[in-house]
Parts: sequence; structure tokens; C-alpha cells
Amino acid sequence: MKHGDEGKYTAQELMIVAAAREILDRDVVFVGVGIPLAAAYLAKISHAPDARILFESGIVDSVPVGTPLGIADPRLSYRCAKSCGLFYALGVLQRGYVDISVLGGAEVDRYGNVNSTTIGGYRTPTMRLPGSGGANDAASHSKRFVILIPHEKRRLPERVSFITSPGYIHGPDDRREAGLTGGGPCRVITDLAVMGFHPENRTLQLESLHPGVSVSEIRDNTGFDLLIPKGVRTTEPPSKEQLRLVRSRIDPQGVYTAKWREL
Amino acid sequence: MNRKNSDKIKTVDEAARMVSDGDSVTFSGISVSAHPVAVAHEIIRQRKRNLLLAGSGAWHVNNLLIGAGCIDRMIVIADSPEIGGGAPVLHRAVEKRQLTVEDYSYFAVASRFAAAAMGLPFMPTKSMLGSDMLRNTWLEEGKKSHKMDCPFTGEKVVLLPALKPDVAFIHAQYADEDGNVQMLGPTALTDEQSRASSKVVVTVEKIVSKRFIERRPELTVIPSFIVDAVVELSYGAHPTALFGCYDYDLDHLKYAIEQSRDEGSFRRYLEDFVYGTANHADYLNRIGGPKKLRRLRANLGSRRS
Repeated sequence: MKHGDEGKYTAQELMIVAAAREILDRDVVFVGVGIPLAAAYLAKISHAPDARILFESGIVDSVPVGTPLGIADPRLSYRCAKSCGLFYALGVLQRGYVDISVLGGAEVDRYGNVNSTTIGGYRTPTMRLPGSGGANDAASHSKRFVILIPHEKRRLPERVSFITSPGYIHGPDDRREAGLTGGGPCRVITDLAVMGFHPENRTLQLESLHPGVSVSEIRDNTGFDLLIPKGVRTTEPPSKEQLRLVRSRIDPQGVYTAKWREL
Repeated sequence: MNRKNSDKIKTVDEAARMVSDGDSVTFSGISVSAHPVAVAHEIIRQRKRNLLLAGSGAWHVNNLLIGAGCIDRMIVIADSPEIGGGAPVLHRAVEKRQLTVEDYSYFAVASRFAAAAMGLPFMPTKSMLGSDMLRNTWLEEGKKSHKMDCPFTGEKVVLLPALKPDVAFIHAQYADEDGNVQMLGPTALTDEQSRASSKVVVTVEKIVSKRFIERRPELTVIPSFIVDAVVELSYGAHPTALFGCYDYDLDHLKYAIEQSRDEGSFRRYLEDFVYGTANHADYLNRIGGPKKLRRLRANLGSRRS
């Protein structure tokens, strides 16, 4: 699929749109950089104009300008309601004001635990990753959170090598027992599907397949036995207007979409 | 009263000498903004060794210091260039056992600084509960976290010890000669990490008058009595951005990230831009000089002179 073709779209564009749909108008939104930021940006300039986007750097209620490349990009500071420090911004998060966070990661398991610290042993990593940043704080304290990740077997293991950001840990009561007050993950959005969590046992289940993707493709690319309910829907494709906003305002250079595979 | 505290005004060379081998250091800056790059370059030129990098989200500075072998212990928050590429410098250092790491969430580190900033021995937080970060506390001897139930409400919290670096390096837009420091844009950890540290070194784009500070006191992040040294270093955050002053140098950032993927090429980067430049002015010429810098100028309009 070629970037910019009429009626066609990339998997990354579909992920941006699907994540944006999770954001409701007037939500207080916490996002990391890259596709999560693009999703919040899209929600803000389309269906959720009164969403308030918050960044750990200390930028509160921002209307992004141009294509911000990081969570302290000046393009997020030009138009914001409050400029402050990280202790304040993440204190607000711990206080419980944040309705939804959108995060990336290197691995996600069936309980929605996210690893962005290390693959392999902590002291003997096969791949050392960048570390938590504010991701653990967002997963701990937001009312709900969405994880964006490429759909690959190695990235969706039975158990993550390291829990950087807790999902439901190892069972439905584990968050409460750990003392976490945030609500936990609500969606995992990949380049193949949208997944949610079973309301009782809190494990990942398929919700919708992206157009053209089969159930067997999902099984082949998932590292654990994913719950697949009957009558799985097809993910709604991006609208013309959503694609126009992504391509003309949010990411005309294809920065987020081009870099995804390397993250 | 017209007392001058100009003994705080230092050269960058003098400021970098305020760090001793083995010290713990922290740097302001986050994401693509406000990294104290110029002073980090000088620390590298002075070949400081065995430093503990205590809670810095300034990934470009982190990578320079790790790559140059200045750091052997690190309290990791995040080492991500955001514009792609993972954490290859951190990966190599950990893999080769050159670097002992201990991971925290951003709010956990902020809380540890906040405890120290207020003279408290620890801070309770609900971050990191249920995560594996609480199981990996090997950096220093002794217990590094303590879970408990709140004696008043019964809520679960984890207590984290105060984090008190020996030296904080801060880059900001303005300071006066006394060291009243003003920032525009988000301040990340600047406030807590400066109050938490034993010594505070501030590099600024411009040294201004006290009168200038007094016109907008709400922009002062650090008051003078917390600051030990002030260095005027324009473009001191290049290649990262500084709000109201200049944008990031995306070509240079991308180049540095590209070179960091391989140990040999990153060593060449350090040779070309740090060891191979005599000082900050020399570095600015190496990256493209006045023509390049003019292109990066922010077009917000200057606040006041």
C-alpha cells in the first residue's frame, strides 16, 4: 500500500486511527511519542477537540503544531495551557486525573504487561531497551491504557521478559493486590488486529481483524493462545477525512509511519 | 546594596572541573530539548571517569558520556532518541559489563529527587508497584525500596530513598550573575534535581540583569542560593532544542543516532565533535557555524532584552 494513494492506507495509519478512536472528547490523555502521539493528535483535531493532552516533560493541554518528534518538542509548547515540570505532570497522573494513556513497547503478553526495559536477563540482556520513561507511571495510574505494538510472535510472548509497565500482571486480581489504583489496559492495537481483555480472566482476546487479515494469520503471529470469540468483526478502515488529517497535518513527511519497524 | 556575586561566573572548563572522578551527576533536559550538551562535551574532554549518572532523561548527553567511558553506573529512566533506533549505546555498555544499571520510572526518579529537595529521607509512591523494576535494585549496597501499607489509610505504597547527586548540570535560557535561573517551556526535572544536588552548575544562553529576572519572577525555576556556578554558553543545548531560542538540529541528531549504532562509528563521532574540538565555539563551527545556527533560530520573537 502506497502512502498517499486514494482509498488506500498503511498499517500504521490504520493503527493511528484505531488508537485515536479510543480517545473520547474531554478525556485527559497521556501519550508517549511516535504513533501514540499521532493518535492523540488526530483525536484532538477530529472527534475529540476538547481532549486535554499531557506530556511528562511538563506540557499540559497542548495543541500540537507541525510534526512533533519528542515529548518536549517545541512544537508541543507553542500552544499549551500550562508549562511545568515532570514531578507536577506525573503527579497529576498518580492523582488519577488521566483518563487514558497510549503507549508503545517492545513486548506485550497475554495479561497486557509491557516490556520496554530488557529482553533476556536484566544483567545479561540479549537486547537492552530504552527503559520505562513515564510508561510505568501511565500504566500504573491511568484509568485505562492502550498499547500499540507490531504484531509479531516474538513481541507477543506468553510472558514478557521484564514487566516494565504492569497490565493485569499474572491474573485478574493482581493489580489490586499490588496496590495499583489505575484501571489497567483496555486495548492492544497492532498492525493486524485490535484486541481487548476478557472481562473476567483479564487475558487478551481478539476484537477485530484489520481488513484482509485472517484468524490464522493472527494465530501464526501471536506467541500465546489468544482468545478468539465467535463473530470477530473487521476493524473499521480510516475515513477519508482521518487520512487527510494524518497526511496533510500530522505527519506529511511519513516520520512516524516510516520509523515504526525500527523501534 | 550592590553586592556582586560574580565569583559564581565560571568558564565551562572551570565548571566541568567541579566534578571529581567517582562523583554522581545528573543532567537536566528531556526528549529533544534542553540537554546540557556543551558542558557534557567539556566533561568528556577532561576525561572524567567512574561517574554515576543519577537520573537523567537527556539521552543525547547520556549516550555521549557512556560512549566516552565516563560513566560506570547509571540510574536509568529512559535512553531513547524517540526519533528511532532503540538504545544501542546503553545496550553495548550493559552487555560488555562496563555499566551497572538500575531502572526506575520517570515519576519514581522525580520522587526520589523531590525527597532530597525537601530534606526528606524517602518518598512514598504508587508507581512501580507490580513491576519488575522493584526486583532489580543492585546498584548500591543496601535496600533500595520498601513496600508498606499506609498507616492512615491502608493503601499500598513503596518508599524510595532520596536521591542526592554530587553535581547537577542544568541548561536554561537565562540566569543573572547570582544564579537566579529562568526557563521558558517545560522544565522536566530541573527544579527537583537542582535542589536535590550538593552542587549546581548552570549553563545559560544569556546572562541577564537581576532587573530582567524581577520583571517575570514566575519564570525563575532555580533561585540563586541553590546555584554554585553560572556559565554563559549560547547554543549550549545544540543539537537539542531550547524553547524560545532555537529548534533542534534534526540533521545532526539523526547523524549522531546513526553513528551511535556501531561502537567504532560512535568513537569517530566523539573524535570529530568532542575530543577533536577545542571548545564550544570550535564545536559550533564544526557543526556548520553561524549559517547553520541562523537556520535553527526560533521565530517566536524575543521576549525582551
